[in-house]
Amino acid sequence: MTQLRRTSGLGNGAAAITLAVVFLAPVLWMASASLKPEAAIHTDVDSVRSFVPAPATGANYAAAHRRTNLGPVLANTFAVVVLIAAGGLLINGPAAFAFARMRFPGRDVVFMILVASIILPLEVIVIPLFMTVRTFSGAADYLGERAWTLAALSVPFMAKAFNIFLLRQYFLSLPKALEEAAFLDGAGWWGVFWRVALPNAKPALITVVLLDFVVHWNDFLWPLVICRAEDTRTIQLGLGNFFTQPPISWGAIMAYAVLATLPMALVFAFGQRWIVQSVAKTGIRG
Amino acid sequence: MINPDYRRSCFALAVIATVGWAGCERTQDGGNVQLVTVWAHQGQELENAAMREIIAAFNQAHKQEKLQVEISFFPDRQYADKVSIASASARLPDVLDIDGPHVGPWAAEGLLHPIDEFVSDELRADFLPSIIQQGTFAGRLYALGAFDSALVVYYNRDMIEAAGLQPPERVQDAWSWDQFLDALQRVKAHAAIPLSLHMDEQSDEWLTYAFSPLIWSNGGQLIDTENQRVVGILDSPPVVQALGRWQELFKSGFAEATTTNPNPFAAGLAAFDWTGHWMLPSFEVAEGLRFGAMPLPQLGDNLVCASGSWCWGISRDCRDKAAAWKVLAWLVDPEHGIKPIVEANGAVPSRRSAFRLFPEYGQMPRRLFREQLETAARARPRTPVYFSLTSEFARAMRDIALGADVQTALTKAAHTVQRALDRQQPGK
Amino acid sequence: MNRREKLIALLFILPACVLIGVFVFGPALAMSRTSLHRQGLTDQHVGGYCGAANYEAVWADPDFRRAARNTAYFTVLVVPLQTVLALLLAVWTNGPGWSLRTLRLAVFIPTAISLTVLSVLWKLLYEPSGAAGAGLFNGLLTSLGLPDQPFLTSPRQAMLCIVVMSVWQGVGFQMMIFLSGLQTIPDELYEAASLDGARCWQRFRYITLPGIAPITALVAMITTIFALKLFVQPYLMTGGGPEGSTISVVQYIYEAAFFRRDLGLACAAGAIFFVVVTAIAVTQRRLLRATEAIQ
Repeated sequence: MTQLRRTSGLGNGAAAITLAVVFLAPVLWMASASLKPEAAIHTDVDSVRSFVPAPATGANYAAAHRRTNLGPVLANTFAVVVLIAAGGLLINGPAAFAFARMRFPGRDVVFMILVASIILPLEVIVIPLFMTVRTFSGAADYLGERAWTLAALSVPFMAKAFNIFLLRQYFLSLPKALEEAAFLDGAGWWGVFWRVALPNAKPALITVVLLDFVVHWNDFLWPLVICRAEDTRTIQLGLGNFFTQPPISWGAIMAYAVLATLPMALVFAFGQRWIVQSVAKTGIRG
Repeated sequence: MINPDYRRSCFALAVIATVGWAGCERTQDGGNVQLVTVWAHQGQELENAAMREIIAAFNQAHKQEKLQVEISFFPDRQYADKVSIASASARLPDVLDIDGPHVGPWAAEGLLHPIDEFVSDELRADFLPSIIQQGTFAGRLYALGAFDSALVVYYNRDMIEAAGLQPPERVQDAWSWDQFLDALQRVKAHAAIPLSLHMDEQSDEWLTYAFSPLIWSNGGQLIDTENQRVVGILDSPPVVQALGRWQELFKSGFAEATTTNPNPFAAGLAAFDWTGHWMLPSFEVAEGLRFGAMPLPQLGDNLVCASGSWCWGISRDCRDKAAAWKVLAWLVDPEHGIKPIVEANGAVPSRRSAFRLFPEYGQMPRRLFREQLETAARARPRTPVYFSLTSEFARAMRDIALGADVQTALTKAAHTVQRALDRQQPGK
Repeated sequence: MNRREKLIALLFILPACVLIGVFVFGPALAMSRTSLHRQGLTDQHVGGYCGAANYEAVWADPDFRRAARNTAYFTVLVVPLQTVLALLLAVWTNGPGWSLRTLRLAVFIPTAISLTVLSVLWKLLYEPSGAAGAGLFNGLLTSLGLPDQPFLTSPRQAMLCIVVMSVWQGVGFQMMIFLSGLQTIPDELYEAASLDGARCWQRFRYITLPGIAPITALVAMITTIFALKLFVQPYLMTGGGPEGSTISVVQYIYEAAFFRRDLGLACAAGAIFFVVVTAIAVTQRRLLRATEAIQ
């Protein structure tokens, strides 16, 4: 229920739509520019025509595909986010469950220490993390460049204190009755976790997976440091391929940008409902 | 409701399949193919395409020998960082692209393998002296380039004729600074912008590259590499005097200290343009533009021109240096390496034997490019602290252009670089 | 049973602890150690102990001061702007109707797009218009008869341009959090207030604001940490220029390691950064607890 009474619904609606369009103008422009020939992008810039993709051409998308290794790059990025999300579930899930439901000495202390790591984002430790990872760089000779790069891009991010925190909150809010019933049926701790707690924590799981997906799809700094050969790179790095010496073809860049955004936009559109639900449920209470 | 176990197994399979597929190494074709890795910076699109063709031609020619090259491009700005990062894990590529002034820092760090053993005296003599100078550090040769750069002053013929000027065509006839200022004064009535200096350039290197010749021609230096001194060198009287005279260009309103227009000359707005060979293509296609080129005006008695561009070296992590040399030799070979790349980027071929492939070097302005490089070119200093030197120098230049006191700006820069230089010494 | 349970618990938490230990705490400790020693980029181990020399070098470095100033400037602008804007938008769009839903969606969309893509897009948007470029904003100014602005090429305007773009990108996410918080305020409070004759403003001030005070503090805290982590936008849009007016602390650390090839220096800067970030986070947590207590 709103707390601002709407008197003139029509006026307000029009204002909202207008603001929505203005707010999205850069994104609309990006989509439009990706479909226009290069010259038109430059000449249309001081008129409304810049938002209209006419004359439309697919040349930019073709150029984007040609100038970057789009196939391997998309595959790499996809592999990395899947690895992080899947590995994350297998690593953070049990930990969260243990912190929520099991009793062992030092439980709360260890949990607090882990949570403290939330204030150590990548950017703060990127250099020493690089130093740690480089000690493993010899493995590239055995695994091959691509596999090693994928590992280096995903393994450091599989365990996340924030995800453990989120999942633990959710597990705490689950009714104990189901778990107790499972115990009575003879299930062990792992069984209870895997068959009872996890399936019932769907909103939190989806949130965690979606957040991991989006955050790591958009990763730039770490892949910048780690990726070398062209077919080991991730999608955000691919944008750099367009920044050659002038002239720069902005149309192709916009096309690539659209391609780089679509997968996650879809994921986000699908998942935003869950994220908001979970954030509300983790009790940002007054 | 789908069986949860079934769903989970599907998920697991999907994960494994994705990872397995993405992690698969490209299968090599049969037999032990020896792979040489080459890293290059991203030049213009045409250059990159030319590079790929050069590499493809090499691979074709060496198929029997089972020697293949894999080339990776990196965006300009990230290139030096990526080389740094690779050096940190001892995973440098076999052959790498090196921006001229970076030979110093990288050779000092031990990242490069000297190539003296592969270069005969005859081969050495075929290269322009500026190329050899650029690739030499502490007495050893580390890099050879396929092309070099040229820096000249272009002029708009219509405006020059209207002002009644006759610019020189040969290096030894170069104008003195006073003659240059006088010409600018005379042309002021005919041009919106008497002199375009490209002060809009974001990169620091432009300022060091374009204006060091002024300092050198006045007898000054940026750094004393032998004695590791910057203080007392960069802020010494010849340098201060040279940059003070450079500052006159701004104070007299001949040039703009800041601008957003990257190419006023092609638009017919500028009478003189202080820039390099890379702008030539855009001038040639500019409609209605009649232009010529003259050597840089000289400040003192020393006749000096700018030089320097990307070159190729072999890294110390390379396992088969002889194979890497084969690739490098191909990259600087007149027919296979120089011709395609120079056709793409319009730079100056680095070898005397290559000029016969380019008849346009018989005429102006290219004739001037070649003459400069053969007679008066000088490479930027090869020093471990080059990065610091160039960024501090550029900062000082920008301040000077905006009217700062020259001595103060240079002294500040000199001390900052000296600190960096002193930090290098212990623990190394 | 107890013993077994403890063992199982250990197995449950072990992978997470090991990974976080190796990839988060390990590097943090290594950073502290390296900052006290000399280590070049190609050195595999720390070199000689040098005490506070690296810290002194960082502190004396004008580039670091510039980076610190820029990052602080960015944070001080972005956090309030984004929080206030998000709150206003949340309050406005907190209701039924397709127009409001459209606005919510529109505001939220930029959050889904990567900062990399957006930095490149806005770099283009800020370009000069006409022959020199394809900049939409300058195109707009031109069509209104106003002069082209240098935007990203001006030392004074560049950071502000980055602030605008960052606020635009991030406001959607904060708005969503505020919206979920607004949902928790019971309607009865509003109804009672309007029965008592309270006006819009008063309802906002006495019901809404206190109701979401803890969320606001939380949002501000998260936004602050995000703002301090600034790297991608200046790196891609301006490279840290013009004249060092947009270089961030993270970029300084990155360049210290890979450009100046000095790991000791980079780690010292990183350690300083870590201390500052922690201090700010801890302070904000205290404030958060305080607002909770009041409420």
